[in-house]
Amino acid sequence: MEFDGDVLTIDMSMSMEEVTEFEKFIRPRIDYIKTIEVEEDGALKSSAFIALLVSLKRTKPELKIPFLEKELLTSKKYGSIHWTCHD
Amino acid sequence: MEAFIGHVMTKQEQVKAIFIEEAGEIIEKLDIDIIRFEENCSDFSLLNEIFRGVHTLKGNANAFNFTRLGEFVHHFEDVLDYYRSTQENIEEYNLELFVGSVDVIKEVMICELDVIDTLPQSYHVCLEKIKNLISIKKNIPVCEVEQKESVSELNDLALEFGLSCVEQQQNFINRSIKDAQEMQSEGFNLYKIDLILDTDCYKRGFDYLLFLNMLAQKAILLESFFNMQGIIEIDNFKSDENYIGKVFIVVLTSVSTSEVEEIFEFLFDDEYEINLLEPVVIEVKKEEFVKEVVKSSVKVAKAAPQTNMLNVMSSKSTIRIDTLKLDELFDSVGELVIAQNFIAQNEKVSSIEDESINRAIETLSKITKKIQDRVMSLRMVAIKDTFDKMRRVVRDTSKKTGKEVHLIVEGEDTEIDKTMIDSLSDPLIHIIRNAIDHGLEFDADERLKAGKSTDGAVTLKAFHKSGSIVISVSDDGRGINKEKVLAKAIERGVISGDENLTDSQIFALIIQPGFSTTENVSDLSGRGVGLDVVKTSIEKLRGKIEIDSKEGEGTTLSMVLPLTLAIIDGMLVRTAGEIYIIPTLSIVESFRPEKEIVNVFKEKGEFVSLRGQYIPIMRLSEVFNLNTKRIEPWEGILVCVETEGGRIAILVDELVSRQQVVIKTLGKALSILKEISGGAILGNGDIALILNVEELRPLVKVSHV
Repeated sequence: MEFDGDVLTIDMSMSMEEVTEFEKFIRPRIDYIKTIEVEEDGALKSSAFIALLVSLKRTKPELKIPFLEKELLTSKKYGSIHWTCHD
Repeated sequence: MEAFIGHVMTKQEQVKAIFIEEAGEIIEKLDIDIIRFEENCSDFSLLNEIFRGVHTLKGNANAFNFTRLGEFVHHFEDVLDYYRSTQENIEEYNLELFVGSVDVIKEVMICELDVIDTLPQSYHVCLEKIKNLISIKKNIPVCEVEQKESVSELNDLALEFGLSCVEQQQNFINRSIKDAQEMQSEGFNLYKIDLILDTDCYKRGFDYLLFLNMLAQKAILLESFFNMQGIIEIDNFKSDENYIGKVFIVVLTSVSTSEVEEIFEFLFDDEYEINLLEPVVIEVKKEEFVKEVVKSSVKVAKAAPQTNMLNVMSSKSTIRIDTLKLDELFDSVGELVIAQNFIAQNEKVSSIEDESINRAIETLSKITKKIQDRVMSLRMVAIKDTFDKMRRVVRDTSKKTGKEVHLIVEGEDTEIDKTMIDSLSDPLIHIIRNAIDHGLEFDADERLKAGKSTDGAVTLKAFHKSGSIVISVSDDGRGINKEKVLAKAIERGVISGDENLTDSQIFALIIQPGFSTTENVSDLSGRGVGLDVVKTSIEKLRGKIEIDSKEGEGTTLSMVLPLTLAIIDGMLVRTAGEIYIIPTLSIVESFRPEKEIVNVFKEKGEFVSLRGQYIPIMRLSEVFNLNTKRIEPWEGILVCVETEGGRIAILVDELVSRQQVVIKTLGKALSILKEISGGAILGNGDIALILNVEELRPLVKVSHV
């Protein structure tokens, strides 16, 4: 996880425990973050990761999360995962 | 669409513009398919196709708050769904209702787009009939049919733009299933799995990803759709609780249902639902069978190495491009051609004796030509869609006139410039209506007496001929009565009666403004307006009309069109040191006349006598007041051109060459010169004017002489 100004870069391959940690970390800081970049090098480990990002977006709609806005993640491990991040 | 051009479109407007374009395409296809279905109402695969179109239209219409359209297609979809699922024979009057419904859809779409409050009467009548039909077929009272529609289903989809999450996701799922069905081959099963894990699933050690991973082991296609609607804001969010309400999975795999069930065996029964989807059965005609077998074996061969290759999404092989962008590209290529010609024909460049430079120029020339051809081909589209639309015209005209007609279509794959396609529909409609209304015999008895079958035939044909495209409409009817046409033309003062007209000149009289030999004016044709409109439209496309007819056998009306509107095939001629371009489509012949055949008539000008005809000579230098030494016709070249008023011979100093030139429009100052239709930049950078031969007026009115 890296903070560069108002851009937060996180890794997609967080375990359930790491997602929980991340949730605790970001909750008080959400107002200061403008963009969340997701590094997709590793494999997704928990669906809670996407759910948390959706929750953040829902809380702060102007927050930029390019990964989420793609609404698609493809991997050999899980095939194509689609979601919609707007209501 | 026009409303969106002229300013930068917002995202919403862009989406709406795409919708309108797509809806237009769906409706156009419905119009064609419904007529095909009427011709063969046992073709339930076609009915399925129609149903899918209506279904998509419904989703799109509701998404943009076109609720009136949405309501109509919603009920129409219900009826179609009933027939496609029961495969019940469709009564003829209900077929008529289907055709009428497509008409209503077209009209309502216009009302929605133009925000017209009043709907056409046919909307209510047709909707009522549809509701009654549903009520009868499903054995439910009409009021229940009404009730169903009143569910807010229709309105709540009209969000800011696009579809709601649920509808959008449902569309994705349907598309995914369709893609998978297309990929499905023997030995593979297609499943749709609904997975609903509860809030504490993570604590139980389950995650949706776990199941996806297990399914992925033996799948050739795996797609999942996460429903994120239940996810709450961060204040109350707990990462170790599951808020993803439902996941839909579409999987194409070699494993059996029981093996799939094993994957979910540790879940509660209400947490998952596995549906084995039936493969799509496609009826294959005998002659197509071999082709299909080859195709499917290719499919299997492709599928085999993909066992571990997931995420197979059908990639689109086409993209939508704004025609304005294509036009810009075409203009740029035109400039490139001019620049390339300039280099190739430049004296200074050609004087360089360096083989490598010459080779480079040659290569540049070849590449430029290739680019030009490819860009040209981008503008070309098959005329098939336009021809398909004519089925409806034939059907409607046939019903209105009470004449049995069958349409024969040939050469529908012939490609034509997109800009021209759009302008061809109206002329074709006029010609076809005219062919059925006047060309064909009055009734079956008249045909039988003439030794013909009771059904009339109209043939629609497209083909290439000498660098032009010909679109012809033929009927096997009465043919044109030359005497009747001549008498009418004299009566109307179109001709004096002293002329010696050829057959084609006589036939050409029927497309003169206000000319009609028919005694009865119907709402289809007979006003003498239709064919005149056709003539004007075709001339705007720089084309011409040819008519051929044999009394008792039928008539053929051909529209001869240039291949494209952006390039013209022209003959470069020189007069008084200036280069002019004459469109080759108008040229009949060119020759140096003998002194003996040139005659001068007092106050009427010069004529050339050619095969018994006196053709007026026009001196190009005089048309444009060019300062030059006057030459005699036998010292120059006469280019004989066909015009609406008859043939004229244009006197020029010499013929230079024949070539394709990119047409450039002239500025306002030159647009007053009617004799000029445009300009072109030549290889040496000079500008040549393109002649509008129709506007070259000889001293005397030729009037078909």
